[in-house]
Amino acid sequence: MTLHPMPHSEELLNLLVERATTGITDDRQRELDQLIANEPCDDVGLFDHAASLVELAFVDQNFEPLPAHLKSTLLHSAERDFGHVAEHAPTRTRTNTPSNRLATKSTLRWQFVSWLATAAAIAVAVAAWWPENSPGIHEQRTQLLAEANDATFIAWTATSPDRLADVEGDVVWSTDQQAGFMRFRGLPVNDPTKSQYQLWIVDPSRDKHPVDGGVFDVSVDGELIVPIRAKLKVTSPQVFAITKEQSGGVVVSSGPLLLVAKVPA
Amino acid sequence: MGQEVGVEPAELNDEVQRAKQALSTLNEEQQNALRLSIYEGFSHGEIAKRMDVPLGTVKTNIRRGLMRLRSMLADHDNDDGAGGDS
Repeated sequence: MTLHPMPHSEELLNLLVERATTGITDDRQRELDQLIANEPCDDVGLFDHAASLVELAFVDQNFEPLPAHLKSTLLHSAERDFGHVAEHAPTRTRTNTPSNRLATKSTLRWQFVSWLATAAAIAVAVAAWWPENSPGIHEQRTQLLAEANDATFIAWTATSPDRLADVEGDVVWSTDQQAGFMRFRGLPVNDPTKSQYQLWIVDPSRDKHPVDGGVFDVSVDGELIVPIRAKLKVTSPQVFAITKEQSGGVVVSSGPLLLVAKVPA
Repeated sequence: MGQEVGVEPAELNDEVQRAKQALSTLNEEQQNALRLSIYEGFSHGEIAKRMDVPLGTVKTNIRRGLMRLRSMLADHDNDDGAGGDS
């Protein structure tokens, strides 16, 4: 891959990034054209390929874990059906989607991306009965992020560098809707007959004791999304915390504090 | 459609896996910003609001993340002696 030099103009760089990630409006496109007229740019799509791969990486990541045999079957089908799947291409409202970006580079890539979208749709169907995540929970989480004006997005942090430091994920919470979702990747599988993970919501405005956010289990590796079911109304959450407790959960935590997500002040 | 670039499904799948690996080397803020903008489809302004950080920080995280990914993916291609993408 030939890397063209980066433009010097900060504004031009920002517009090219915006074009590659979210797409740009006609007005912004005119700004871009004007900037390029002043500072010629060898490749206006210099971030497009990376952005396309990032989207595919997240698609791939989001639908893991697929059973190995199913993933293998899907990949095999891709090779078999390659070139015959464009009619199944999804429609997107954004004008500069990664799929479109790829399409402008190569019809073959577009066909593969189209196939991948079809495979992803199959994976959604699989995920719908996959016992780990509830049906449509990813969409519910995305909807909350999109529609709740007060939605907060906070990443989990391990409480110790020696314990669960590799766990990734985040909390999405809306106080207005009293709803939220926790997302984890890499949280170890637990034996629910012995212990369960429990969420606590620290809300000093209501009580010195944290609010019980419910217990949950991790039964397979991969991404897990868990709805937050606070037992009491949460008005001003400051910290979301995960502990490991005895089966069924506890009223007052006695287990180790594993992960925290601190709401920005 | 312009110049056709022959890419086999397996090759693209390899690229996606490399992108995943490259993503994992970014810091958390960059990963989250890229995920929210590219995968979840939020505007940079919406991301700034939801993550409660300045808009400039979001733009910087996305730009640095993409620049690093682009560079890492290109390095890998050059190591393999692959070419043809422009």
